[in-house]
Amino acid sequence: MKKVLCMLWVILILLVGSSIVLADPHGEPDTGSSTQVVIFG
Amino acid sequence: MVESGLALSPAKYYEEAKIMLGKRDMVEFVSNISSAIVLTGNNKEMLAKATYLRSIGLMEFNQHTKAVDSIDEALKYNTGVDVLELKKLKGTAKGFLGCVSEAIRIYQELLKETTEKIAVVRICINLAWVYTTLDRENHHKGGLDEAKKYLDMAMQYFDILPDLLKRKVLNNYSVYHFYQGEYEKAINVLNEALKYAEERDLPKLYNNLAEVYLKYSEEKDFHSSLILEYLDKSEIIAAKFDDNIELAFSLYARAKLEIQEEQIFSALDTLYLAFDHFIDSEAYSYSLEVLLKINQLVSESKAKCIKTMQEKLHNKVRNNLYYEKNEKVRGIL
Repeated sequence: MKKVLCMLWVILILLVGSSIVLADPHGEPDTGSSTQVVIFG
Repeated sequence: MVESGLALSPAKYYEEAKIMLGKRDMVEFVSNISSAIVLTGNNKEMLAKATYLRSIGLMEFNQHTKAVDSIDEALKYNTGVDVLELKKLKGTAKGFLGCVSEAIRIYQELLKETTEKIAVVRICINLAWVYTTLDRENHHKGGLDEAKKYLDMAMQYFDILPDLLKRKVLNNYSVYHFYQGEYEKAINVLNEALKYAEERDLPKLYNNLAEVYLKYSEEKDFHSSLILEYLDKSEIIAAKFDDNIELAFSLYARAKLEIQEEQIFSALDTLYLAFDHFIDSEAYSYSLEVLLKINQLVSESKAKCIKTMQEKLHNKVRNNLYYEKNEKVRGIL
């Protein structure tokens, strides 16, 4: 029983892991702009 | 902190907090801005300014959960344009925290509330960011089309934009091109974006160039030194500016390169470092992504180890008495 659960866990991790899309390039939001504070972009 | 002996003026702590934010000293910033708020009492004008500054500061230090609380408080005291800015900031914090649909809802509501060109561009940039970067699961369900729609809207005003916004529009465009598989276009747009970047913004662009080349190298042969060059430059500048999140992205890309070159154990070390930096930046969705990747690599390398051991046992220790007696071991392997 324990062995089966371990196997299932490994299979699950492999399945979930392989379906991940790695970070890839990332865009950026605008966090700047302020009428009160201008610090940096 | 403001020197003791001076009058306990909230305005002095506020000004000191501003300086500390400029110096990116989080401890001193929080200490000063908290003092400013506590000492302000019921002065609504000062409360508006101080809570606003605290919100911006917490975002700059990637303290997104605390930033959301601070923004909610700031919204009670601020009015007019500042409310729009605070709401936009809340959308961004929510986005970073993984609440993608809430971020989209906030931005789309803001878009209806303003017609000012630069403000529209800023909101379009954020919507494009959410659709290209955060909501990758829905790229194929029209997410990328939405991103393009908002980027095109922003591009209409490109000539009148300050360099900072030009860079952001172009950077988000490069991500759109990347997901369309248009790697050449992505590279060109990123090189164009470099012209509008200040030093502290370079890691973002270098990391993206490395990522695009990494993917493009599956189709076309690039020497890994080109990618490493971008990652080295990115890490040096990110460390200089204490930019944990870009340091994490750079390490993550480096790990991918190491995986590509089958340096699995180096890749694991690099992934653990990237994980730490993502956690420090409260970038939980990326932390999870890295953690799952670590799990996948560990499982794969364990399977490889077992296979290697199995082969060695069969080849070299096959006649060993111990091995013969322990058929169960063979059964497990």
